[in-house]
Amino acid sequence: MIRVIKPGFYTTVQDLGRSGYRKYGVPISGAMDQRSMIHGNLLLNNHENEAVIEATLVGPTLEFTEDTIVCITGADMNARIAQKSTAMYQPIKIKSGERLTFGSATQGTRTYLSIQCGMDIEEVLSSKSYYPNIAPNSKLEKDQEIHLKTNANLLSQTYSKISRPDFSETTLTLYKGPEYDLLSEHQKNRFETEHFTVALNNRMAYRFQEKIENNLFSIITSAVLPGTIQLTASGDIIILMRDSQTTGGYPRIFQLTNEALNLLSQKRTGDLIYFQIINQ
Amino acid sequence: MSSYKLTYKLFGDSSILVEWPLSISPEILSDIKGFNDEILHLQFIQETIPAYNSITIIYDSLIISSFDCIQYLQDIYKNKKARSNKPSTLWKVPVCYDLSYGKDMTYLADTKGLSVSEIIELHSSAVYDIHFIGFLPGFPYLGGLDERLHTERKQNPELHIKKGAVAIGGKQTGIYPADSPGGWHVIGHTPISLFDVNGIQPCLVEMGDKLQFYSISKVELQEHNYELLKETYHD
Repeated sequence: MIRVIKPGFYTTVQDLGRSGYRKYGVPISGAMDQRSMIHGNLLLNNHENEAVIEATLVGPTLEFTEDTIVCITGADMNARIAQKSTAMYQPIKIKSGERLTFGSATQGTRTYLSIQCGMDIEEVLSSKSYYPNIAPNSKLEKDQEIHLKTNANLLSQTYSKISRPDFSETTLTLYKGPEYDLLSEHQKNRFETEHFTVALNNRMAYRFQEKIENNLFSIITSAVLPGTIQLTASGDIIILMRDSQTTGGYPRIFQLTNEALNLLSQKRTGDLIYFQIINQ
Repeated sequence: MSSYKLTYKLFGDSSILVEWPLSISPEILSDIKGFNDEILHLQFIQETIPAYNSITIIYDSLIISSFDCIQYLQDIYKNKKARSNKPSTLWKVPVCYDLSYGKDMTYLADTKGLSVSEIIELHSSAVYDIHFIGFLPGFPYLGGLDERLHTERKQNPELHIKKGAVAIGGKQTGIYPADSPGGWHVIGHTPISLFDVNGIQPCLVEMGDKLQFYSISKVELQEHNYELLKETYHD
C-alpha cells in the first residue's frame, strides 16, 4: 500500500485516458505527457496503459507499506528514498516503511511514478484517470491510501535503456486546424515567426501572454481535441490539453501533434515556445 | 431523402472533421444521426464526436490512411439508405420553477415582458431536439427554444451554478449536469440526473432523442414526488 503523507501541488492518477465517451461529453483525460508515462511503464515491464501517478511542479511524499519496485520518469523532482537521492529512468527498489519524497521540478513540469504491476484503482468508464465528477477522486489527498496490485515476481532488472527527452526543446510542431483559412496572412505569419510565452496553464488548457488581434467569428459549437489551438475574439490563444471539454465554439486554427502535446505538458508559466507547421 | 454537400477536413493526424451546411436544424440533426449510426461499427473508427453540423471521426491511423478513410466515408454517405421514420424517445424531465430555485426568473420576466407563468408555459410546452451531448459530461444541447425566451448570456458568468439548474443562455436552454461556473439565466431546478457514471449507459439521453420539461411544485420536489418519464414520440 502507498500512504499519501503530502499530496504535492497537484497530483493525480492517470492512464492513457477514457476513450469512447466523448459523445456523452466526457473528456478523454489521461497522462499529460504520455511519452514519459509510457516510458516508466515499459521500463517496469508493465502494460503501457497501466495507471501511474502524475505530479505537477512540486511532487508528493509517499510512504510504502510493502516492498515494491517503481520507476520515475518525466521532470526531475529530486526524488529521494529514505532521504537518499534516487535515479530516474530505471527500476528502483523500495522497502516496506520507506518514504519516497519529491521536491520541485527542475527540468520539465510533470513527473511520473510507475509501480511494477500497477495500483489497485477503481476503473470508471474504462479508465483509471482522475477527473472531477467522473472518477471518485480529482486529486491525491493527504492520508489517502492506495493499494498495490499483488506483485509476487518482482523484476528488478531491465535491459531497456531510455533516457530523458530534452524538455528544453522550444519548437511545437502542429497541423493546420479546421478554421486555419480564416486567418489573415499577417496573423498566419505571426504564428509562424514569433515566440509565445506560457501564461495560465493546467490539465484543461494552456494560455499564452501574447495576443493575436482578430475579427474571427465564433463557430457553431463543434468538437475540440486535446492539442486543438483556439483563438478567442479577444485575441487569446488557448491550447486545449487532455482534460479539455469535448466541444467548443472558438475557431480551431491549429492542431498540435501528439509529440508537441507531450512536450508542452512539460512547460510552465514563463517558458517560451515557437510553432512550426507540418503540411499534411 | 435529402442529401447534403458535405466537406471533409483533416483534423490532426488521426481525426477527420465532416461538416454539414452551417445551420442548426432538425433535418440536419436527423441526417447526422443516420450517418453516425452507419459508421460507428466500422473497424477503423475508434470514436465519433457529433455536434450541431459536424461529426469528428477519430480513426485508427495505424490501419487506414486519412485519404482512404475519407474515400470510405464518402462512399458510405453516397450509398446511405433512406431512413425509416422510426419513432424517437421522448424524455419528460420534472422541473421546479419555484422562485427560490429560479434565481433569474424575475429578471427574465421583467426583460421579456412576460409573466412567470407565461415563461413556464413557453419553456415546458416545447418539445426540444437533443442535437448532441458536449461541454460537460451529460450536457445535452437542446434545439427548439421559443424565440420569446431567447436572452443574451450574462456579461459576467456566475462562479457557482448548482447541479440540476435549468437555465436559458442565448437561443438555448439546458440543464447543468454538475456544479460549475456559467453565464446562463437560471429559471428552475431539476432533481433528475441524466448522467450516472455507474449506470449501464452513463448518459441516459442520446442525440436524436426529444426532451420536454414539466413543472413540479416545491412540495413535490421536497417529497420526492416526481419521476423521469420515458415515452415514445411520433413526429
